[in-house]
Amino acid sequence: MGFFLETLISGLMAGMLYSLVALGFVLIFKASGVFNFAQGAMVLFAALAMARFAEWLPAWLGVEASYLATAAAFVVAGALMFVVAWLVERLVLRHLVNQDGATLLMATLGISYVLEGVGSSLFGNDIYKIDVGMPKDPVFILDSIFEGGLLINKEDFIAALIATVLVGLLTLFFQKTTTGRALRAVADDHQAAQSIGIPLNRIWVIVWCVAGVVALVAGVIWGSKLGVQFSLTTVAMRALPVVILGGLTSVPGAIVGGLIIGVGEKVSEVYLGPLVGGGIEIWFAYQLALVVLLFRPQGLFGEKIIDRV
Amino acid sequence: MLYRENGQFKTSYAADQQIFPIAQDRWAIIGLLLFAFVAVPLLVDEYMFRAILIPFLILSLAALGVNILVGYCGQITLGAGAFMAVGAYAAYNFNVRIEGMPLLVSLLLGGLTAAVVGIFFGIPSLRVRGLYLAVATLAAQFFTDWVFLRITWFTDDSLSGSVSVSNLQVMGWQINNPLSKYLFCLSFWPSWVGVFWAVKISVLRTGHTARPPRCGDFRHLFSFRGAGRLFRANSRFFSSCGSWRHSSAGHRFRFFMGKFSSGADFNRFGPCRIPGGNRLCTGSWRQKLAVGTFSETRPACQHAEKKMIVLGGGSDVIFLIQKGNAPTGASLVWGSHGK
Repeated sequence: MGFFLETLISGLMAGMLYSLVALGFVLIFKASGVFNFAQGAMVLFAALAMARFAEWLPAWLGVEASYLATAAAFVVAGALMFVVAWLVERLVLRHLVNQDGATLLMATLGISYVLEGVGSSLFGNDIYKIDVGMPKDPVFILDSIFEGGLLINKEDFIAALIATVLVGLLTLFFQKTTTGRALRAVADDHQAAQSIGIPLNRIWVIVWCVAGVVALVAGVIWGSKLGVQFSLTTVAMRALPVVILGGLTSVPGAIVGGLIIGVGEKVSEVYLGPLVGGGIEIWFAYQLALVVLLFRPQGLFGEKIIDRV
Repeated sequence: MLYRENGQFKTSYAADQQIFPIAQDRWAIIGLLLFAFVAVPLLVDEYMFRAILIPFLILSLAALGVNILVGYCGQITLGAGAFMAVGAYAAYNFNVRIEGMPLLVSLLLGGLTAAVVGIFFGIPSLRVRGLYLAVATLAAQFFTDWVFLRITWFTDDSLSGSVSVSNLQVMGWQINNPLSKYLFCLSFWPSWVGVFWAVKISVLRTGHTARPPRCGDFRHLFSFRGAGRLFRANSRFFSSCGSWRHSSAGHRFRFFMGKFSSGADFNRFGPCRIPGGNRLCTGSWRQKLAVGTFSETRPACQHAEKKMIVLGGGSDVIFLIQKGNAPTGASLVWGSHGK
């Protein structure tokens, strides 16, 4: 029982991180109708920038590497993501107003190749470390109830906490502020939103900035855990089934979906994995999403697609 | 355009529905084939064959598979690499495990296997559309990756997952040098293009029923339940056709490039099919002359490959912007116009 709970908790915490990236997808989709395939590349790009600037900034300024330098690197990387957002709007989205979803998807596919290539040209191809002072040591809790206590990874716990706070903030921003409402209007219909005076271009820059920041946070958390390397893009790809499971248009769906996928992955890996040779984490989430789609094509919380004849 | 259809009148249905209704097109294609079969082997050196022309032929064939699914049936797929892998490993196993299996037959059987798997993964397309389906196809991608890595029977217990076959021959013709491999790949081209044009565009009913949803006539089609059901059956048929096409590209990729990994090759499809225009199969391979050779050659140096990917991705975006709506048929010249 104790072991099962451990698996469950670590799954929940991993799931929170998936939710964070999934939220990036959902927000962009809700706000601009773009299914942002470049989210994974953005995570990698942001993490690379953060890791390298944390190395370069102290060297340029001639100061000791410190938390201050790390914070400065975070700010610089954030600014870089703003530039990326601005460029994406300027060079790509502006020219694709009112196109259908598939076109925009293809465009983000292109953006992701460009970001991956440019990122590794600018920042290098190796594995880099990000040190934001996350505690690495595990702790035991609830010794009194279970024999030997439950093993909890402190790093995961803090990461899940950060993700939770960010998810909360973003939900508030998109539901309660005027800008958030403008974003939802744009999502419904580009042309209609434009005609009532919503500045489409500025809105898109905002959305992509938010997605950039989400990518940066996710990249930093994952980067400090696994090291910054190319495989970060595939970790972000695992957030795709989360979105599908939860429904593309639903913020709570992204959160619940993330938790389900996180737990499902860990539990299946531990209990089912040994039977089929292990490593099933890679595809489990996708198969789960596939099965859900067969019964609920719009995901668990998505809006039902109704086509009138 | 350099020439037009004006004045070329047809007097029979057969003439009207032929693959190349315009005389200039027919001559251009004949010229191109002559060039590819006769002139290229005389002009080109070994490196060019190995590094550019063979990958170009193979991957453009794969792009055609995507073309069928995305361009004609409107089903966005991101799992092309998966079906290439299935076809490739299936053909390999037929070839190696069955004594005296002819190469061509094993290629066909590999295609059939991929078609069956394609039908299986095509089931969600009965209920799901658009972006949801796109992600569902990724399931195939990740699943096959895992299968071929973990179940070593498929790769004949090869540690790296990379397999190769020696002594390839078709009816006594040894396929052992770059020139013969090039010619072998090339010989598939005309036949495949012909077959699929026939099926897709005009000749068979299945071609007709697969097209309307792509053209935006979804609703009319679904207003008749029977027609809707027919379409769905066909969409499955087409997803199996598409995967057959992928697989035939897949096993050639593995036989001739000497290695195959389904995951890595998935990345190459985005850039290579978009500029070609999804609705016209000629687009996908003509365009590869321009873009495909950039992104699909395999430069020895990793860094150079990165730059190639940037080129591919960048050109994808540029082409999209130029024409606006690629998946519904944008191409610089060749795709038909969308809305």
